[in-house]
Amino acid sequence: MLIFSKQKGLASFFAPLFILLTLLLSGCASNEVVTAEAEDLEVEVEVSEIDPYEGFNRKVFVFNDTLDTYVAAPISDAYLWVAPEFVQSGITNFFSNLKDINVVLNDMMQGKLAQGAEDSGRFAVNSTIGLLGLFDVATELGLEKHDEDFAQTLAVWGVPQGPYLVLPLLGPATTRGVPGGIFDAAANPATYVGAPIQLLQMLNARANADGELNFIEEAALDPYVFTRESFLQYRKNLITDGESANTDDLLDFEDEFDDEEGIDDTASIKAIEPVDAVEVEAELESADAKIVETDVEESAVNSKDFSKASGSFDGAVKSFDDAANSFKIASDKLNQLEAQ
Amino acid sequence: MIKEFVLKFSNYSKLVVYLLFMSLGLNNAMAAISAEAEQAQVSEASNTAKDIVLNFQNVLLDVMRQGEALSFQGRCKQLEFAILQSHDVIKSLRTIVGSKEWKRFSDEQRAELTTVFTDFIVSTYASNFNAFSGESFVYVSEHTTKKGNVIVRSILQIPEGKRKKVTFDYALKKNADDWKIYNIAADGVSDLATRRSEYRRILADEDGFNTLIAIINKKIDNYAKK
Repeated sequence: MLIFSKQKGLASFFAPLFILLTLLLSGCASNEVVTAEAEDLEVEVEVSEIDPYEGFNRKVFVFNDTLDTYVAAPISDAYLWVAPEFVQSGITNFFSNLKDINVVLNDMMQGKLAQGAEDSGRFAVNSTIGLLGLFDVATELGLEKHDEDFAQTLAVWGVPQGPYLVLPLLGPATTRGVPGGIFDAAANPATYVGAPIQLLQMLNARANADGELNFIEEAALDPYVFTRESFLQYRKNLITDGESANTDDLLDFEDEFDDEEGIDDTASIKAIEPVDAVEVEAELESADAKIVETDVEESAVNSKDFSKASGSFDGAVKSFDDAANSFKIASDKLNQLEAQ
Repeated sequence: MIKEFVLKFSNYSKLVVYLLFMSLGLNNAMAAISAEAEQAQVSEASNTAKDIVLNFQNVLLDVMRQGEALSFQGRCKQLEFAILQSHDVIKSLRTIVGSKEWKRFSDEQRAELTTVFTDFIVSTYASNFNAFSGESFVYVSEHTTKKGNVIVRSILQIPEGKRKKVTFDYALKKNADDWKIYNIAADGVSDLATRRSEYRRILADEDGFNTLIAIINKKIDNYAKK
């Protein structure tokens, strides 16, 4: 609430600054329509262990969502439409590269030394050959990007997750994520270079999340619950480095049907039987013939070998090619604009 | 003031990364559709869990390649068949809803919800897998759990732009002779678990069943209109 009230103060004195600040909001945004649905559902809130403050959280969620709809989304849409793709990816790469410093620190604190070495290599390569991080040459070289942060480190150290929170402007978090966020911010050079860079960082982040936010808007029946569940599971997956999904957890739910034979599902089965199965099957068979599984595997292996062998030069050339290509697209767009 | 900016951004950036993966994931992480409908197919019986997943992914890629040449309805038609063949949609739906609730439904309600749920999954796929830009699925591993179920891991590689890859874990159960997809997790976000929370929340309200059907139908309409 402290942060929130300060933001309000800012809003009255530095209105334009506040507008840009709200770019942060996208995190918890969804859309107006579904928000209305979510509000309707707010009637009886079961107090759950993980989300004891659901009533409050939902209000903040709606607040964030509204600000995103009216402020952050339009700015982000304009940026996505106008900025050439190579500019967008350059900016994304730049901030991603700065974040690699943080990743290395957290690698070390979690005892992931080999990964720490790899991530140091990423930073070194991208900061030099990659022109201060504007090009992600390291990935082309086979140095994989990792995602580590201090909240994950705290989890690895055994700090409990704590309740789920939706913070004004900041979006989903857990109580463990709050000190994590402070540490990560302190370790990121972008923190110390002034407001314009930070605003750009926010714009970039909001723009990169655009597709995902649209997805939530379309797919979630209850955007609040959808966001909460996905956020918590995604964080868990990061903490376990992808192993959380590789267990019976994906299959076991506490009241899964053991007695399913006892239930007559004939009606339900009939309900989803495809009518023109034979016709579609013929189409599908031809589809299968066109795409052979091994092609996909081989090409993936080949391209990995290739990019490793070809060294930094090819990586860089590829990045520049991509850049040139998106520049073309951008100039087409500008022509379109002129035509209009 | 800078510190507050920083704090905000830092949390925000994590969220963004999460959303990015989540959404890509959930595009795929649609639950499951029925085995029983196709049990007559003897040829399916010999398919391994891995075959089921790879075949389904091939259909997805093919539908993407045909992209706009197919209408939304055209994509739906192809995808519905593939989904019904490879997924155990009823088992997934029962798990999402919960056994107690499912038993409370009448036959008509079960049939109605199953139809609507299936349409929703098909529409979500058809809406999101509508164009091809060099995506590919790379098989990673297959892993048998303690209970004899199989988890097939594969990576969706997206060549363009900044979104590089999403890990998909397909959980399959053996149903009679056939392996059927029962759950999908995208970067650790389990489709069934997320839906369980959503659906049960809605069903807990008064007249929850009708509300649920209405919300899902609205979502399907939105996809069709897009």
